[in-house]
Amino acid sequence: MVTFCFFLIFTLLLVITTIFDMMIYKQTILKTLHSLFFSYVGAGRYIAYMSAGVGLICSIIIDYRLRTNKKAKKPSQTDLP
Amino acid sequence: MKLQENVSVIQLLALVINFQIGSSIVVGLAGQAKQDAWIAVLIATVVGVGVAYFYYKLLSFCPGKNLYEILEFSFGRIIAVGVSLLFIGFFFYIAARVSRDFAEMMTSAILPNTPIEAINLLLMLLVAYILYLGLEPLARTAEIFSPYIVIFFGLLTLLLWVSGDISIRQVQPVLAYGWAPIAKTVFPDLMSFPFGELVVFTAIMCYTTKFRYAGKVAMVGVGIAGLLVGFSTAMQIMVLGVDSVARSNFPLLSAAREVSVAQFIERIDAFVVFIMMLGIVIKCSVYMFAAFKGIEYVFKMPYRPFVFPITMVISLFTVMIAFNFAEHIDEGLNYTIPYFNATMEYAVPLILFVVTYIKVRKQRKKKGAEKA
Amino acid sequence: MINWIQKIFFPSKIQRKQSTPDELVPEEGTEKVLNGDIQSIHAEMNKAFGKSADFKAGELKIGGKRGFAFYLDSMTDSKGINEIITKTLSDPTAKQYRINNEEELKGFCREFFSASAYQIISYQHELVWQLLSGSAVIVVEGIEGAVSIDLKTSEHRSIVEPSTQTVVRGPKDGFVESIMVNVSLIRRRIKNPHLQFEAFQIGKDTRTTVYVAYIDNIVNLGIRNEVIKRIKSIEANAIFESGNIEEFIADKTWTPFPLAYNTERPDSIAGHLLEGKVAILVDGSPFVLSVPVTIVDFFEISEDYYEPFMMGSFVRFIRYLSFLIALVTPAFYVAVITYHHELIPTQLLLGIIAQREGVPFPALVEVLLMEITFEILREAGVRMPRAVGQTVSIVGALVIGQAAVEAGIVSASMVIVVAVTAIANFVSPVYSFASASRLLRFIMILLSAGFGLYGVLIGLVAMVAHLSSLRSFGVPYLAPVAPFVWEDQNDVFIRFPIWGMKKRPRYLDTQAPIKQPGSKSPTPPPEGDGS
Repeated sequence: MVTFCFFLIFTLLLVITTIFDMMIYKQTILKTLHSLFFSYVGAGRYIAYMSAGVGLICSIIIDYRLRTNKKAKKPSQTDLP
Repeated sequence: MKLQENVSVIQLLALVINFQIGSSIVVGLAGQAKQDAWIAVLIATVVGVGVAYFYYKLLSFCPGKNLYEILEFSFGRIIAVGVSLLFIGFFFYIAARVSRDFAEMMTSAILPNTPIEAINLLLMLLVAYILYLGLEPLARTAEIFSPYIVIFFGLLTLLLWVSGDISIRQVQPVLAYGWAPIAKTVFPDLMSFPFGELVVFTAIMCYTTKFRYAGKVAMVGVGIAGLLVGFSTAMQIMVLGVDSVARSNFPLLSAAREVSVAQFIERIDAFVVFIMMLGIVIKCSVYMFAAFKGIEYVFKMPYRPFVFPITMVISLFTVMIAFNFAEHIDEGLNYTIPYFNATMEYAVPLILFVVTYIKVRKQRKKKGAEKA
Repeated sequence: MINWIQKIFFPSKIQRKQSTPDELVPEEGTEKVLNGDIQSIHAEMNKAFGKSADFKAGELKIGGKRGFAFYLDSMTDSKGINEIITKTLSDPTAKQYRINNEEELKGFCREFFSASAYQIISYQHELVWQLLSGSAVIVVEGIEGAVSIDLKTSEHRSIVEPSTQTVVRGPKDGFVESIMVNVSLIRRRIKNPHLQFEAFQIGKDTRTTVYVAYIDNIVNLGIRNEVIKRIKSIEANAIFESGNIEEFIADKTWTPFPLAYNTERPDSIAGHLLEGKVAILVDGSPFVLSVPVTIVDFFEISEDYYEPFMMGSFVRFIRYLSFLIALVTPAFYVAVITYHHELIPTQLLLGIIAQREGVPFPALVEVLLMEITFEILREAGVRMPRAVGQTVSIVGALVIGQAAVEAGIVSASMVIVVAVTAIANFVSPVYSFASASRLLRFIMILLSAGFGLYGVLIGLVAMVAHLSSLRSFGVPYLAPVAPFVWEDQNDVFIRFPIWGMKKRPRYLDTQAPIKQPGSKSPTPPPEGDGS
């Protein structure tokens, strides 16, 4: 569920960003997407990619724990791993 | 025992003030109005108070329900989920923009060697922690820090005045270009940013302990915040002059750099950044909280497990939304504010308002008919 | 999570975990009755106490019958045994008394043991329990039941001035390890029948006596019941100190901040009780807890109320300031030296840079070096045997001092920073609260090394958010400040004159919100004003 939500929000924001970038640069979708992900901005960009990756891993772990908690019929206690 | 999180009236006031001040003192407002920018802000404040009342009225149709539940009440779950997703996207997007505003300022003024992504990440981790703790700690944090914001503002003014930088001549002649530029800035721009942004409080105001005062408190909050922002705008112009304000990316920061008292108190811009940071943290958290409430509504489960992963997504998009500061500001002024903000802040709530009003009236009539 | 790791790595451990049967409280229906068969009781007792050297069983004659007196030498008063048991039994009138049934045993006790606390017990496990808590028990042949006479030794440390919270002006007595003495110290201060002490036995092995004290007609009943509920639900095997209790009843474990107030000062506890709080006394610990607590309580000490109110307010301000100093000074130093040179006046900056010229480390390493050295010194200072105290202080002065600067390891300004931090940290009136700022200081230093003042501020905001999420027995930890309560501001940043504090704290929601309605200023109103 959390992972699904993760991708949902990711897509939602990507769509919004892409639309605005298309409007600004008057480009096609593909070109915009390409420039969004592959343009060289700085090594710092990897910090952002990595944090999103950590977020993704966390969401998978949280999902797993939520499911096990549900199976154990405990009150769902979820905290930051 | 279910703990319903509540916000006291004073806390709501603190939240509204911090929220409104938030990013609007980071980036300058109402640039087109030249030296009458402060008049534009004050006029927009009056309108903003009305806007606050409008949102309060919308909520008071169904007391205890937040924006998303009202959407469901009026349109049914399927449409409500769709519109909620729009709102969630909007809130997250603006949260990312707010965070970007601040991070850009940090990199350009205070920490030039630190990558913007790292600054963002730290801010987002803080926001994630606050949101993980819940609405109450958020509100209390706002409550504790808001006196400092006012004190800092007073101190900054005093210091600028003492160091002789304020000259009233900079704002004269008043209304040199007539009312037209003022009206132009008030109506598309200032209405959407910052005053229309109060739309997030439709997801929060309903948790106020004394809901019947919430509207008045929000109005007072908008009023105070508007006065503070107007004051800061006027001060920027008085210190820097119209041209410098227009050229400067972060006018308040530039103004603070002018302070020099007795060769001892100099370069207080680092402290000014911290006033702004408090506002940004609150603003960002409030936006994200509203969005997470939406996620809670869409997924029908408590939002806490979502906080960390989603916050990380936002921290990625904070740097993805624009390649550089110029694009960021251009996107904000020319695309986001007129199209996105205006739609989500006025068009959708207005439709919702009308539909809800009709529906509530029908129900009342029905009840009246049943009674009779 | 821990269980999960255990399951993977130590599968055998889980199976071995099983509760040992509680010998002192047998299940209902299986209790052994004291039936008058004294030989078998003697044998059972011998078996129960085994080879304990202090277990004594003396044969005696009572009421014309044979009997046994059991007691633990270590727990009872030998003079009391002599006076009460031996003397009484050798008394001629007592020798003539005949005991034939339980009623007559009771009569005997009424007549001869009435001066000391005695009780008739009827089960064997009670007998063991009585012996362990310092009584002598007499069993008589052929008579059901037994007499237990309380002969507890009342040995305790004499009442001395508390070592943790010293005052200049104010009472100099402090709590001791004996719970009865502690109760008397509180009772002497509050002569009110509504002051009540509820007793609990906690700890499967230690059976520690714990008293929950409150003033019946003031305390918020919800809070009192919650305290009692949490105390009852403690399942520990040993309670040695009130700190053990504190961890069991705290609302949140993952916090550096203490969620219960602890003090050695009876006047502080008396004051807290009268405010409407609940005190928890633990036998064997001179530290008494008081809950619920708010952060403001940790900046107060009873002396504030004995000094003139202006002075009281001033020192309180000093305490808030020093908490902040202890928390952020090193971090601030690192941030300014590393990132924000422009914040320092140029002259001072030049001085600092000149000092740091010979220092090979970056500011972060320098700070960590000094802070950790200081923490080591401090810990050594607390633990060392008193006899070698001199050595540590001399060596310590060398390590954090001129020698370190001259050796070129740290700069002189760094020494000042560490010294100021250390001194500020000692200002806090409650030791356990000061340790919170000790821990958080290191987090602040790391944040400031990475992000400068921005990191420090992020840390501060996170700390405030954390504090505002804390609750102590349902009372918000930042109570009179956030949520803001206007009526309670008379005792937060400024201590009002005593006559101005008419109400109890609102956040406690006590049964009697007004404490001294008639109190008024000693200054008479100016003449011709009103009456």
